[in-house]
Amino acid sequence: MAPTSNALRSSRSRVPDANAMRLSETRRDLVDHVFDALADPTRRRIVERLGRGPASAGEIADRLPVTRQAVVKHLALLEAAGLVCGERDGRRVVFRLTPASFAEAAAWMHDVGGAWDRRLDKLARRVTKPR
Amino acid sequence: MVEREVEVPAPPDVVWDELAGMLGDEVELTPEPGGALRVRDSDGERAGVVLEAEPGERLSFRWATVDGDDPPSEVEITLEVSAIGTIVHVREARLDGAHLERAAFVALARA
Repeated sequence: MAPTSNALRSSRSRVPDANAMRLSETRRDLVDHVFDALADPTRRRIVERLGRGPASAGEIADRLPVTRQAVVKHLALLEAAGLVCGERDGRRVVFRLTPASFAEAAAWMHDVGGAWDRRLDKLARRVTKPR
Repeated sequence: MVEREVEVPAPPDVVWDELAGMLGDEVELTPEPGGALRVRDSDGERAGVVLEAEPGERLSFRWATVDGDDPPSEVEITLEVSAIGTIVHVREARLDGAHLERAAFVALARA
């Protein structure tokens, strides 16, 4: 494969964007938090449970071999990582998943996967048709 | 990480010659380690560097969008001879996002 001839022209000079750099830092922190939060098998089970619908700490503890107090601690950690959020409902607090961080990863996969589907379609057309 | 695989009815050397053109509407690629990669298409502009280039077999590179703050990613394209031509295998992985992706996969798989 030879270098292609339709070379891009460098037209703009760019300076580092302070806001963009700050955003990247925030994202890295988020990644660390998410990873730590899901490193524990009990917390993964709790996320799994909340993936099926909102639940209180007591309802979660009923289905897991851990105490309600332990579930409350795990939920606090998951909440700090931004993975779940609790909402008061009368006398109990109901927890649900906050899918933003999952959504970010899913959106990346969707975008990148779609882009490769288009590129590979193009490749297949180019090598199939007489050129 | 994103993975794709397609089988095309052309031998690997023919596919290899079309790899650069596949990447975008305007592509500049120097197929050697350290070679520059620049791509422009409807999604915008990307810039990167070639890691490996083994004609007819493998092309890998790192690239990033020029605008925006998306993390860079690493792409590996391998070509494998098949009965009807070539199996093209593509893998793209975010360089900073492995932990986040894994967490998301685990959570989604168990949800």
